[in-house]
This record gives sequence, C-alpha cells and structure tokens, in this order.
Amino acid sequence: MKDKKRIGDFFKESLEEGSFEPNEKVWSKISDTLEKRKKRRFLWMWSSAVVLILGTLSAILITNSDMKVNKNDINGGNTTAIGTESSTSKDKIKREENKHDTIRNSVLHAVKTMDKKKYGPGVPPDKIKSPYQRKPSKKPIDSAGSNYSNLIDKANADFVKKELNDSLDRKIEDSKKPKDRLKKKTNPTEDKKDVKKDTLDKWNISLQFSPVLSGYLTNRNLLLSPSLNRTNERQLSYAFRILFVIPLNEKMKFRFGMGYQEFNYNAQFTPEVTVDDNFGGLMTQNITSPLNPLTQSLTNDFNTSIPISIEHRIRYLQLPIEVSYQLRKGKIDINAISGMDFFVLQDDDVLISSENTPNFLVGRANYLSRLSIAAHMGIGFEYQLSKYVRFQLEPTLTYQFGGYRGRVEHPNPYFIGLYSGFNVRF
Amino acid sequence: MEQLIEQCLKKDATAQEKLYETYRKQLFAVCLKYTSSYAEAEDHLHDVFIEIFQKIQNYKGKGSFEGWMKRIAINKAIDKHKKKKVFELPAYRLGSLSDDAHEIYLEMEHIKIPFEKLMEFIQELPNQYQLVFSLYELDGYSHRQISALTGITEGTSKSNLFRAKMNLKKQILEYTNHNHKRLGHEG
Repeated sequence: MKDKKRIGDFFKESLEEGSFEPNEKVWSKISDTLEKRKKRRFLWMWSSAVVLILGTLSAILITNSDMKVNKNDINGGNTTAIGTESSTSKDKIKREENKHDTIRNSVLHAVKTMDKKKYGPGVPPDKIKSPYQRKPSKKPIDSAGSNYSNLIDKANADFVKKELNDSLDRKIEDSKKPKDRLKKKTNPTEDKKDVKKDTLDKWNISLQFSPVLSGYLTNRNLLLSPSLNRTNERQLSYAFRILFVIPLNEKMKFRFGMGYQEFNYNAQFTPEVTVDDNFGGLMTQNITSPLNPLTQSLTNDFNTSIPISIEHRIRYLQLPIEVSYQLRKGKIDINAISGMDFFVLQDDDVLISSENTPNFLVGRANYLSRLSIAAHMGIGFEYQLSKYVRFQLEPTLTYQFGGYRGRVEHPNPYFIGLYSGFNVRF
Repeated sequence: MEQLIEQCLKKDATAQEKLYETYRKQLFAVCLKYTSSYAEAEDHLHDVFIEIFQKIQNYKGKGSFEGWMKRIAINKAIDKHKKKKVFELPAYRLGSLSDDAHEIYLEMEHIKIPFEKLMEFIQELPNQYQLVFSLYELDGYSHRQISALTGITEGTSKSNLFRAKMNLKKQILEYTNHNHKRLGHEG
C-alpha cells in the first residue's frame, strides 16, 4: 500500500524539521532603528522642555509687565480702579484707613470727655445728631441708670463710628470721581493707553505654513556624482510652524515656537557603468545602509539601461526664536523680523526606484548634522481680519550654519520661505 | 525568560539583542511563510522585532511569550497583505462539498524535497493563497478565524486554500519529475 499524506501535514512536518537563518545584518538594522527612535524620543522631550521653559519665562515676563502697568496707573492717577490686587494700591488704602482711625479715635475721646464734663456720664451732646438722643436727666444717677447710660454711650459711639466709616467711603468714592472726570476729559489719550495696555496684556499664537524654495540640494547633492547627467531635477519643500507671540512693548514682539521643515530632492539618472560600480553615479560612501554594497539584492532590478529615480527626503524639527519690530502701523502693519532657529534632523532617507522596482529605501545620507543652527530675517505683513484674528504673510530668508558634518562643504545653505498663516489673540 | 523580558522593558540593548538571538530563527520561519522572498522576510522580521520591543509591556504573562511574539508576526503579516489589497481577487467556487472532499494527498514514495525548496514553493504562491495556506495548514487557524482576521468570507478562505494546495501539489510533482529525469539521465 502506498504511503499517503495530507499535503498540509507534509509541509508542516518538513518545515518544522528545518531551520532558517536570517541575515546577520538584520540585527544591526533593528539596533539602528531602536537607537534612532530613542534619540527621537529624547529630542522630543528636549524640545518640549525648551518650549516649557520659554513658556514659563514668558508668563513671568507678562506678569511683571502687568504689575508695572498697575503701579504706574496708581502713582500717576490713571484709570486703574481702587481695589485691584496691586500691592501699592493696598498700601494706599491701608494708609487712608490708619489716618482715619486716628481721627475717629480722637473724636470718640472728645465726645466722651464732653459728655462727662458738661452733661454728666452717659448723656450725649445735642450737637451730635443721634437717633439715640434724649433729654438730660434731672434724677440722680443710680447704678441701674449708669448701666443704661453706658449702653447709650455705646450706641452713640457706634453711630459716630458708622458715620465716620460712611464718610471714609464717600471720601474714597470721591477720590475715584475726579479720575472718572479726568478720564472723560482726556478720553483719546486714555483710550490709547487702554489699547496699549490691552495689547501688552495679550499674548497670541500664530499658525503658519510655507512653501520653501531652497538652494539646499539642487545640483550639488552629495548623493550623486557631480559629473553625472541628471534630469527632472526638482525640489518640493514645505514648512509649517506654530509661534507663541509675546508683546514686549508697543512695537516689539518676542516670538518662539516649533516647526517642521521638509526638503525633498528628486532627480533621475541613467547609470553610466554597471550596477556593480555603485549604480554608476550614486555616491554610496555618503549613504549609511545595511545594504552596502548596494549590489547585494538589487542587481536584477537596476541596470545600466534603465533610468533610476532618486529621492532624498530630509525632515527637520525647527525651533525658532525671533523678535519682530513694527515699522509701519496702518491697515496693513509692516514688521521687520529677525531671529535664529535650532534645526534637529528627524529623517534623512534615500530612496531609489526604477520601472522594475517601486520606491526602495536604500538607507540614510550620512553627511548632514543632527543639530544645526540658522539665522533668519524677513518682512512681516499683517492684516487685521477681526478683533482676534490677523492674517500674516512673512517672506523669510534663512541661512543655516553647520548643516553638513565635519569639513564637508555645504553647497547652498539658504532657503526662502513665504510663510502665511493666521495670528490668533486670546 | 522573565528576567530577560523585564530587562527588555527597561530598553536594555543587551537584553534586546539576547531576545533577538533566542527567537530570530523561530520568528524568521514565520516571516518566510507570509512573505514572497528572503529579503522581504528579513524586512518583516525587522518590523516584528521593533514592534515586540515597543509593545513588550503589553505582554501580561498570559500564555507563552513565544506564542505572543508569533501572533505579532502573523498579525503584522496580515496587515501588510491587507495593504496590498490581495483579498479582492476572484475566488474559486467550491460548491457545497465538505472540506474533506477537497483534501489533497501526496504519495510519499518518491518525494524527497529539501525544506528550503518547500518554503520557496509557499513563497511563490499568489499572496491570497499563501496567506490562507500558511494560516490554516501551518499555523492552525480555522476558516472562521481567517475570515475574522482578513475580512474575506469563509467560502473564499476555503477556495483559496484548495487552490493553494493544488498549486503546491503541481510544483511538488514538477520538481520530483524533474529530479527523477535528472537522476535517470545521470544514471
């Protein structure tokens, strides 16, 4: 009898007997990815900490500027109402109360003395208009009468105290009234001050997007041999950012935040020699890849007769810090902007493709710095859409320092962005 | 093992490498069954281990750790197949016959094929057949489970399995005949 076996069982048993060994480079690739993710997490934590610190400092700055405004208002007799939380205004009220307490005590003392000298104990003078006033007693004063007159004394004293307190309140009210009158008389100036204070109090947020034109990679991309004939060379880059804006004075604003900057370099080339020679122009020494040399698994897919497309994707986390200064105020405000950025490299992937093979991740370019700085300047145009929202247009030129590692020459480390977006006041 | 998992939870690189060394072969075999080439399987193995290290805190000690890792490898493979949209291909109608009626047997008398070659046969299957064959025959999933995991109907799963077996049998016979001819020629 012939030995028969289910085909599924045959496969299962045969495969369980075997052992399959992955390439040694798999672990180094896993290790690289884990390391990369660890660094990325660290960078996010770091950048969050920076933003947090800057935010806290800004809050402190805002609080201090508030206190200065209140102090000035009280000293200069401006519009701040009595009863605000300013320590100076509290001191002033306390001084007024102390002064008044002294007057009140001396009046009470005088009243008591007058009572005893002129009318006998417990009798209030006629001059003081009290609801507890009574005719002078002709009867001798007994102990019970003494208690009664003490009560009357207390009632009179309370009345006087109440009168004096009311008087103090009226005085405080009066002290406000001339300011109100002054406010009405000098309305335009005061309004201006109000607006100024209002502007200084409010911090706001800008959300911006920008297409970016850069001399960053074109013609000089270190991934391709300089002599190589390349076609369809183009870049499509963009950036977006969120900025926290803190007014420092009427014209100057401090802005900081976070952004994302992407550069995509695309080109097509036909290898001039065989794939064994680094794809005839792909400078593999500038690529870190587990597949180096690249010919290992790609020989069949890429050869000299087929054009190869290369894509270099660079992504930066951008941390801008800048100052803007108002040059012209009008329907459209014009500001000069200047500042610096920290650039933290996030991705630096190199992909190639041909008609045989879709996008194939070759590795990472190894000549870009993980961390670099940049200086930027620009002109900002702001158009007020509503009380809280402004439209912004900010052409900006950025120049990067230390974008390339070591002594490698950076080709054109500048980029021009046309940031547009909205500024929202809170 | 528990100690190794604890160290991996602390992202200890040495422990991670040790874990990889311990299970690489086992998981690589799983990856090979669900991919089309060695290179693709290596990429898949990379992704699987990255996910294992990222989600190791989700392993609560219920069931075996190996089983948990294997499930990650299989689920990830299914996700990749879904992205390729391999389930849209027309299914072969089996009619109302029982599963057993579609069983395919091999006469084992002259069949001697290295396991690497058998793996190649599986990898050469069309994606939708390969997935169902590996899930059902090699990893013990039922058609109902396959349907739930992949979104195809149980009927499609059965027909894909049948077609996969037919395809594999054909390849085995071709390989065996070719070998016999070669040996006869050499003899």
